[in-house]
Amino acid sequence: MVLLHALRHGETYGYELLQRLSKLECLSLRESTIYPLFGRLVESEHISVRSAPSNSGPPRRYYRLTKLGELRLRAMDEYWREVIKSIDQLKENIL
Amino acid sequence: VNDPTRRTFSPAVEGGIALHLADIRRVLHAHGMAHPEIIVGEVDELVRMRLAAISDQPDIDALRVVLAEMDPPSAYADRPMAARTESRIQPPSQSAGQKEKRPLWISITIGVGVAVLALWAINLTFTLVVFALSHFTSEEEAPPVRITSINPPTKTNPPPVIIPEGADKVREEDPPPVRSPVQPAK
Repeated sequence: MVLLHALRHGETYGYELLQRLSKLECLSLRESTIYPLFGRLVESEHISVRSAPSNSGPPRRYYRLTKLGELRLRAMDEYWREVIKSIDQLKENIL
Repeated sequence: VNDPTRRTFSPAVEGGIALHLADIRRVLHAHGMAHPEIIVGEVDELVRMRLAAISDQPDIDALRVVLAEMDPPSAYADRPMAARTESRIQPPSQSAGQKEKRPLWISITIGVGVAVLALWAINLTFTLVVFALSHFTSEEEAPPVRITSINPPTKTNPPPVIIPEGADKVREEDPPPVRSPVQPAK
C-alpha cells in the first residue's frame, strides 16, 4: 500500500523511492523489504517497470502504477478507512 | 557523467559489488523470489549511489563501510517477514487466508446427507430404546409360573392350575378354575 501510494503521482526509480520511504520513521522500511515488494508488484502487474539503457553501468529501472494497481490502491484505501473507523468506534466505546 | 550508476569503479570495488550481488542472487533463487533481476539491479544501484556519496574514487574500504550499513544478503531470504508485509497491505478480500465460496449444489448435498444421517440415527436410537424397554419390562412383569401337574387332564384329574409366583394360597371363596368340557368317549 505504501509503495502504491508512493507511485501514485507518477513514474519514479528505485533509489529515489527508497530515499523517500526511508524518511518515514514509523514504517522503518529497508531495502530488503522494499525491493522484494517491487518484484511482487511487478509480478502481480500492479506496477510496471522499464529500464533506461546506459552506455556504462547498470540500467536504471523506472516504476509506474498500472490501471490494476490504481484499482488495488483504491480498494486498499477503502479498507484502510474501514479499519480506522472500526478502531475509532472501539476506542469510543471503551473510553 | 555525474550519475554514479553510469560509471565503473576500480576493479577491486567492482569485484566486491559483483560478489555481494552474487550472494543476493543466490539467496533469491534459493527462495524462489519473483523477479530477482529487479532486486539485484536495485541493490546494485543503491551500492553505487552510496559509494559515490562517500568518495569520487571509492576503494574497497569504502565498499566495506557501505555494505556494512546495508541489509546482508541473508535478509532477502526472510520470507516470513515478506509475507507479513504483504498480508499487511492486503484487504481481506484477497488475503492469503481467503475463504472460498462453496457451490450451492455441494451445500444442498451436504445438507441432505446430514438430514438423512440424523433421521437414521434417531430411528436407530428409538428402535434400541423400544427393544430394551420391552426386554426388561417383560422379564419384570411376567413372574415365573409353577405348573402343578403335567398329567393330561381327565375326569378325575383336572387340568393344571397355573399359580403365579407369590400366590401360593388360593382363596377358598375363589371360584374353581374353569375346566374345559370333556367329550365322553363313545
